[in-house]
Amino acid sequence: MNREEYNIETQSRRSFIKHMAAASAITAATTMLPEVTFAKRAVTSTSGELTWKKSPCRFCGVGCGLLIGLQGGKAVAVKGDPSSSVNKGLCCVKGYHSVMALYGKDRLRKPLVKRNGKWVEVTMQEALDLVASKMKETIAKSGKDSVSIYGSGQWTIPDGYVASKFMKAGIGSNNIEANARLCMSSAVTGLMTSFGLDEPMGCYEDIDHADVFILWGNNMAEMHPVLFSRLLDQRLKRGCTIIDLSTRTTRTSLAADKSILFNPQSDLAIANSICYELVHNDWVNKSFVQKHCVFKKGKTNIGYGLEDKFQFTDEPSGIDFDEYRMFLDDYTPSKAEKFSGVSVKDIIYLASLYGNPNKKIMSFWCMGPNQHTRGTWMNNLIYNIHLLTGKISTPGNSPFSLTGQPSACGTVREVGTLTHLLPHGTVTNEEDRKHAAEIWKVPVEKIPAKPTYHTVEMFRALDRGEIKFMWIQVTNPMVTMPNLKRYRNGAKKEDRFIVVSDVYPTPTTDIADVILPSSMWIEREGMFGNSERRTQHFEKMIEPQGECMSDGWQIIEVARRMGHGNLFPWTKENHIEEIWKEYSRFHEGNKHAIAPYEVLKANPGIQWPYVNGKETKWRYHSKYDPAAKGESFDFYGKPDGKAWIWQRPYEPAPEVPDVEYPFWLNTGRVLEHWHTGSMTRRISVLHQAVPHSYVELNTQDAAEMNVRTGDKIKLMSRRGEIILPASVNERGQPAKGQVFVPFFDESMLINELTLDSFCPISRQPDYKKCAVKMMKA
Amino acid sequence: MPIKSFLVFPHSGKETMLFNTLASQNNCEVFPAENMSVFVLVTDTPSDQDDEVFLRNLQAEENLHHINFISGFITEPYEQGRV
Repeated sequence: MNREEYNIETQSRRSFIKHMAAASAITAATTMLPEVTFAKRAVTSTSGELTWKKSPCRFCGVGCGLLIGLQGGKAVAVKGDPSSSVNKGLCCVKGYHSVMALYGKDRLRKPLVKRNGKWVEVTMQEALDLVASKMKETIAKSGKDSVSIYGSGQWTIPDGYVASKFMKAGIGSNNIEANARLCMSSAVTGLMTSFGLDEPMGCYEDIDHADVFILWGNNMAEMHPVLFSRLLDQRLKRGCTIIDLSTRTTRTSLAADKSILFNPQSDLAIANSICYELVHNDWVNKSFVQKHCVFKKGKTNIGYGLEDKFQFTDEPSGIDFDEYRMFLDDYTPSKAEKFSGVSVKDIIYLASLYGNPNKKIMSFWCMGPNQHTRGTWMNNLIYNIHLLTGKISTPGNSPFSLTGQPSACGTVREVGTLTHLLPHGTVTNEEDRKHAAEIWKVPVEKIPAKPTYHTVEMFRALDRGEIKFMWIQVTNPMVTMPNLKRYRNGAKKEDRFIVVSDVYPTPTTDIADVILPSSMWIEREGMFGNSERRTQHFEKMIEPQGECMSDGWQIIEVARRMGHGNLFPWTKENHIEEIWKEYSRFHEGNKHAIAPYEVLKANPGIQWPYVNGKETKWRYHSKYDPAAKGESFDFYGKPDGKAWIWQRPYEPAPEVPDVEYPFWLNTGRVLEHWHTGSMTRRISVLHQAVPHSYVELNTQDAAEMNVRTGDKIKLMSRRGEIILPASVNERGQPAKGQVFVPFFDESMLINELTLDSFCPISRQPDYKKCAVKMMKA
Repeated sequence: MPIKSFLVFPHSGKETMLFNTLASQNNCEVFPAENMSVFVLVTDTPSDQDDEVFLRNLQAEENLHHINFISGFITEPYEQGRV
């Protein structure tokens, strides 16, 4: 670069940063003073000669609408899209800086192949040839279930669709999973078991109607900051109540009206105790329950999935209200207090909020109840509370599981990029297989009827050698898998072949045999689906860097090389639109119809079911949902139209603190970093805000150990050990006897310590509870 | 070479005077709201020392009621690699 080019580049960057600074201030002003307006001169001065195009944010599952500022072929600015009903013009710190993640200096731009232990640059054509030949060779030698794809809730919807079609209709294997198994599969099984259909009945607009918000183990202020700002805004305007129910004091706790701390795993007992109070105080909405609910129980002592090839199938059976009421006798507030540490008074207070017929109430949860060895049960129990009180499927009455990734719902849950799913229904259902085979134009026998491996078991199979080839896209399992050492060692075994498609080097590309550089976000066209059933389209705005190619097109190229080109008869120019048309056929009908391509292109987002040109905000109520029959509620996911209230007991965690390992370890995220930090740690301002991981200690524990912030702590579990700096009374504070470690830092791999236990129904691991010990290092 | 943005709130009736003062300064741009007594101020100073001096002078300005710091950026290249 010569001096003149350098100056232009520098000036462009300074100008870009000034635009960002001014845009942030204008946005802050409009947030603080909603009526304020600035002269067009100010807005254009801050935006220069930029062209603005709409896109959902690349990061979390809230699905904020962004406007991306484009100049000279680059994305140079971001502002919140005021026409997006999700964020109404506001963004969080990750969103405002999101485009910077496109331009990290070590962006993968060329395919790399490992030869004799060294990375060698090759052309994309050579790399794709190698991937296809290796996949064919592995299938020929070890069978079709020896190859697998592991994808992501950050796949676009078309990418996930292509991956599913390739594996299930092309290869003829159900060996496809996605990282959303790690973050929301308990939400899915919770909804499926309670209502028979996935995805929430409500939407973000519930926030504008609710009087009370109960946050179940959900640090919304950091993980869903824009949505949390909507809660705070409503509290300012209407005086709503926010209750934070958590195992750790966080920024959410500090902003809440009341913070209630509970012992890990005891949320099961608290939820049942709330139900006990509802029943015994006559706060049950009897006519609702009689008309719209039935009572069920399932198996108990269901295990934790710690052993390889663990199998579990629940067996629901009907019970009556009296049996359910007797079951709740084990959960009087005084009994629940012993499990949970939550006072009788607080449990009764929570029940009184849910039980008050004059209060509209929302429950929010995310990783707390979902990353839980009884995650499905926890979801069922929160639904129980809303069903017993009839506070559901109407504006402001909404149990709501938030997702973590931009398209965990849109891609993984709706397209069905999991071993047991199809774009509509499951592989075990013959009618669903026939439906898929008809749309995909393959013999129905091609689609296997038996699921193979869920995520943890897929990596166990890789370790055992049943899987020899794995293609990992848009995710970083060598940071995120629990009990990480086992799965890293398994992936590195001699005859395993790992392909990784990503945008930056990560610990996962470190173990790859081939690295394919992926086009990122607005370097290609796509759609994401957020937590509230909203599908959002974005167009290709800038050219991909180097030889980068979208994940979906990489799969199509490999599929064509393997003789499955007939499944993907599209051009590079039209494939997104054609995929959308084909995919839409899976969801025809009032229950899940999705908006046409042209409608998605023209809007900042559309909620499904999209019927007769109208979005559906609330499901299962005939006033709002075109699929609901009758005059009010219709839980049509179940054959009799009734939701299930489940008898689910408290059961302990598989590993609890003891004399040798006396502390609970909880892991999670921080506001500034997106999951494993592979993108946000390339953004200087975010990296400098939180440059490395740490272990949060309770102040009393720290005092007893004479530990201060910054002291090095050696943290050990039965599976591994790491050294981290201590954080005492800073951003968050665990309860006494607990520690918290964020997982974004690849140089401090906390998942080497975590336990690979999971919910036997959802198969989602529990990253929130295992036993550790610590000492000053 | 920091770049920062602020919301600036003048004392009632002193809007014009404060705007004129800020508009005459080097190293900053000021955008008044059309319908409320608030300005967006973007500073672009050559060094941390200049930034401190600018802010000290601003805070001493008698027509200023208060300022809110909104965002701050370093202007060294933001592109970085694996850490």
